[in-house]
Amino acid sequence: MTGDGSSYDYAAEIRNAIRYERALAVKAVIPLAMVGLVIAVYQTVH
Amino acid sequence: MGASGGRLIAAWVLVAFVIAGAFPLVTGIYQYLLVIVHFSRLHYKRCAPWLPRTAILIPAWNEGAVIGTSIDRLMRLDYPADALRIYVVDDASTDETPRLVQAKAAEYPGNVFHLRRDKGGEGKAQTLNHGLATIMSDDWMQALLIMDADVVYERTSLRAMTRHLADPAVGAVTGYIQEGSRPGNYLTRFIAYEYITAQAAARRAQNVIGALACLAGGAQLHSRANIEAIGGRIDTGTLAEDTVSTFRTQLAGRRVLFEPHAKVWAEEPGSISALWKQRLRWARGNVQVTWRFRRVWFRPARAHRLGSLSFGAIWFSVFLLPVTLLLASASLVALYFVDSQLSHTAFKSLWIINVITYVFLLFYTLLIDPQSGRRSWRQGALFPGLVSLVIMASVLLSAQVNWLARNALVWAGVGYGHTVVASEVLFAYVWLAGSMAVAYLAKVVERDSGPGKYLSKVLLYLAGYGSLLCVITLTAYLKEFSRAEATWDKTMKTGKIGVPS
Repeated sequence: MTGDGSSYDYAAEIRNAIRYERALAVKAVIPLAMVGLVIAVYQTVH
Repeated sequence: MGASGGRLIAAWVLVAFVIAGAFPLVTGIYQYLLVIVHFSRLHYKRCAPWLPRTAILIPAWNEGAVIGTSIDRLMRLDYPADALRIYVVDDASTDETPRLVQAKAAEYPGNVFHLRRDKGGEGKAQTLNHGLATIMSDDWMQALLIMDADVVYERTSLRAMTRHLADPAVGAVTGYIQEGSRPGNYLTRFIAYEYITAQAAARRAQNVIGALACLAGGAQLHSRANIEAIGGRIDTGTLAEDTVSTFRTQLAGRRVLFEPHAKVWAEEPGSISALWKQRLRWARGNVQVTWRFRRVWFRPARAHRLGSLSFGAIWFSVFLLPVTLLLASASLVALYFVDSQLSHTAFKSLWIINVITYVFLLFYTLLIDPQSGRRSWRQGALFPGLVSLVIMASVLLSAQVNWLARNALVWAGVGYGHTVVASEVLFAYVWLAGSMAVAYLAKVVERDSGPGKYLSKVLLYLAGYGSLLCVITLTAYLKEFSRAEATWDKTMKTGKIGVPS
């Protein structure tokens, strides 16, 4: 800004932050799937 | 009880010690599981677009390379200029810091103030208190931001932090410190990866628990009420003044929050010796804090969550990591001579948990902060060290790796007899502790140029960055136990941060 706050869209910033945090939860599927893959490999070769 | 009974008990005690080695791994997974539910515990409902009058307090000793640019960047923050005051406490600098700050004070009248200490070198807390005395002498300040001279705030970061202070239950807020050295080197990329795990992930988990371990020294925002509640000054009794402030805030009944979207960039050490100096100070501070707040651990209270089981487990899993590694390693070796089959099972169980933790944390870490992840994914993959990765592979694909090792040794003319197999097994058992010795060696042989420069890098890649942190913590225990003199060794900064302005 600095000073008048004209470019400050507070609601949009909060919305983006919440969206990012929700997306992080969804992204956890990938590392969990990788762990599943490792366990499957282990069970296959042992 | 007969000799065999005693032997059995000894064997199972040793197994328990080996399994205890999995404690840091399990808490690591637990923290990352908490990251998944972070979205459900956000504080934004209690936030408001509040832009309090903020005093920025910067301790500075010989910061000529960075201080001018830092002030300019602060004045370009997306924040009302009439609500910002920057106090640079010049800790008896002998370089051009005083002249530069005075020039900035003239350039930004009413916004930048130069405070000079004639006697310096006493420590960061004393320097901060010099500035606090001035700031608290009138009622202008509504919020206090303590930062380092070299850190760079993204333009929206300060207001992303102040919005939480609209809730009077919140005493302090910290931002997300990211490694910003450009072009950087292998070590700063290790640190970049470490900061995603230790800050972006771990602090989100602590938000969920409701207890924060530490306000980052370079990005801690306090409400005026909180500064008054903790006595109007920074504690000078430890090397971890930021952690003490964090604990005192929460013990006084105020919340401390991590705002992951307030991004702050810092220049981190580019050599093992500089990193060692910085982290030894932090680790010794943590030993002091652990002892000082000994009556807090595992004692749940209504006013705060520092005494919760979750928080205690997380704190001690990091604090005791070298001990658990040494214990697991020694127990495996002892167990080998008591019951080799049982030692093999215990070893395999421990390392399977290690593999699962490694895979889960690596992939999630890179997704939590893709920007830093893109820069540091190689160091992330090699974080446990090459030798540990080979051990993981041998546990996961034992038949295949053993076949490879056998053929390689036969090809090399070494053979694959009982002695070789026993040596291989004992090496793997000792490695948890041995990796710390190799990491220490990396520090010892490090030189600015020549073979030492490359040898230290090779040794660190073999041992793993985590082992380096462990051996630093171990050194901190020994220094504190022997009451070695605690000096304030400042990390020198060169202003090589290359981030969005």
